Amino acid sequence: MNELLRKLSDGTLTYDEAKQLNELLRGNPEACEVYLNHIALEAQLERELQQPAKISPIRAIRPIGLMKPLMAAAAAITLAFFLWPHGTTAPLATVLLSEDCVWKGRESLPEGSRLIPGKIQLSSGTAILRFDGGAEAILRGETTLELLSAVQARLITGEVVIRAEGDAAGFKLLTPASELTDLGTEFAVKVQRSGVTELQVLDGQVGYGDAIADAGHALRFEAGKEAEAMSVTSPRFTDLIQQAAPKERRDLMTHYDGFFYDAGTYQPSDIVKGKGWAGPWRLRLGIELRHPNEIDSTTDMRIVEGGLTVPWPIPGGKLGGLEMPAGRSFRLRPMKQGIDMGNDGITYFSLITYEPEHGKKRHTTPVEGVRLTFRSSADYWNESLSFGCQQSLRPLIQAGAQGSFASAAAIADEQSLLWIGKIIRRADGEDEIFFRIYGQADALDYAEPATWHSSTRGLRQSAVLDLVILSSTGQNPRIVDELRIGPTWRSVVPIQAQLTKVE
Amino acid sequence: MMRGEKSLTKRFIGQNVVRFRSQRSFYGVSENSDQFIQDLTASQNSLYGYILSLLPDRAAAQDVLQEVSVTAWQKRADFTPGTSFFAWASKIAYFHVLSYRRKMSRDRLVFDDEVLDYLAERQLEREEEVSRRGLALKSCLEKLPATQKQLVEQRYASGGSVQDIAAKEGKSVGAISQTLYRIREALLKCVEQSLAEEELA
Repeated sequence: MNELLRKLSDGTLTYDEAKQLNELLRGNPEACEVYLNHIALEAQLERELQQPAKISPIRAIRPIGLMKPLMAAAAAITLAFFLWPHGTTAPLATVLLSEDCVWKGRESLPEGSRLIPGKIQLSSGTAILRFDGGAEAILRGETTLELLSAVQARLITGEVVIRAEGDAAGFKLLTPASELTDLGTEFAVKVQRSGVTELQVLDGQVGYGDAIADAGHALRFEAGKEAEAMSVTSPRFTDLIQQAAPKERRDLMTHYDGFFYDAGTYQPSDIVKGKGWAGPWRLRLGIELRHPNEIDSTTDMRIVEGGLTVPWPIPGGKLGGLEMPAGRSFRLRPMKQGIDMGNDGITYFSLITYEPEHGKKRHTTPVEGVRLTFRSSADYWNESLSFGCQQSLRPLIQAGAQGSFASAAAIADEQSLLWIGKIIRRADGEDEIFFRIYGQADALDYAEPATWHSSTRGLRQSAVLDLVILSSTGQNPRIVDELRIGPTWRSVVPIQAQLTKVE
Repeated sequence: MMRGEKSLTKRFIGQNVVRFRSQRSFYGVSENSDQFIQDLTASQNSLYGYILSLLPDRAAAQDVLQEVSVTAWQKRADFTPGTSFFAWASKIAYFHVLSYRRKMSRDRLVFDDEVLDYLAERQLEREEEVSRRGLALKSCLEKLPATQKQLVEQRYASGGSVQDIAAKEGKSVGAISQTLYRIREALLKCVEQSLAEEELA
């Protein structure tokens, strides 16, 4: 090994010796560490000693012209942004809940929809929005709200309850009577057709004009009159959510596999149950096998009972789950209706996994990793969306060659995990993908979270992703269960009876 | 949304100080570009090491690094600030290495896919360790006797080959190669020792 590395450094390694090095490294983590330490030294010596004499490429690029126009372009983009008219069309809020909603001027605003600036007119029902600035608004009954920015809206008529705590404080609601500024609080506002405006401060403080109203106070504003005190009658934000009683909508699920089989070993072709599939599970075939050495450890599928500790109200684990064996395992299932990335729409998925221990010091191969990948049967190796948890335990979205988006934070291993992903597909414009992995201690809410582990930027896909691939590599078996795909959060995520605040 | 960065600004409404959150999109573009260039510059060494480990050929690794820097710049909008820049850029590097390998003639192919993928994964996990190694190396180089340091500089700073140095020094290629080998061993040992001390500290 040392001799090979010496030759590598000297640049005299022959082809046969290179092959020898390859054989030494294959499946030998210790040798790989020695090699990587050697290369790290080699690279660092070169870079460290070269720097005064030879500038690193990126620095060299910068003064001689490539970076400059790029910087100028960036400056132009900034400028253009400021010169855009007030109403940009970038999304600024998300629909969290839509219960029996009838909207004026549009067919529907499904849960998960991203809203751009402009008016939304609710005729009946209850809707909850979350502005990107963090404030949440409940709209009930006939209400017209104009979304102005991620931190500002105008209530034209109707009733809203706003909750804007912590970082969301500072949210502004414009009304015919006054400009109301949330100072870390919760408040209800009603605007009558006549323009008479009622403000009820449910918690914290609200700024109006240059005055402040405290919790427990309510005011009535009428043009040309002094503000009049009144009593607080509005229910609290959480009470309103309880009243709306958002329930699971499993009926909307488009694809499902709960691996409901008796424990035992099956052929993939026997795993036929579920919903929305064009066929049973199968192994990869033909061109789907890119690396000949990525051979599956087994060709069957093992269903096990137990093994998952599931704090969420999901039947998973109790009635069988799929055990992916140690080594490498890839299983694929075709969908009846694929995820059409070329059309507008929203797709959520969820999946339960049990993640075995990822030994940090155990430099083993294959490395620990589990993925749920969506690919296109028409063009297998082109566009894809892959969600996973790799050796580093950092949730990862990989969009084929278009880039990968890893979370900065790692999750804990040796526990059951609930993966939830959101795919916002756009015919024109950027697709947005979000991914979060919930641990056993994380509570789930009636709606999607304000923060995800990972999200994409600048992604544009157009393929119809109609293949689901579950892949697992590592030293230990892991269990996956309850694969759900649907159009809304509530169609794929179990909802606890006890509602808590959406974090 | 996590995508918006939080920054608190103060604004006066009448006499009341009101906080509001500015959205990244209003500010971010040029600041982000500057930050991006900083990240990209700071990652050059680690990226070079990453590429070199997968493609152990200095000239090839330098070419790929150049391509990766340009691609990273073009795709900068895909980078999520706050996440690991190296993790993001190394993915680009990985694909560039793959594509470089495809263009290489068969007889120069060094690693097969399995070894390559394993090394790539390990490099991601070693990111922090490698940067600590780099810091340790700086002080280890200082401790090197002058003649040895000179030899290392001839080899690495000006990219001189072992043959060139041997000819210049009037020594055999084997002798120079052996001396360089010993210096690297000493440096590695020094680096390992510094890391071990760091862990104890």
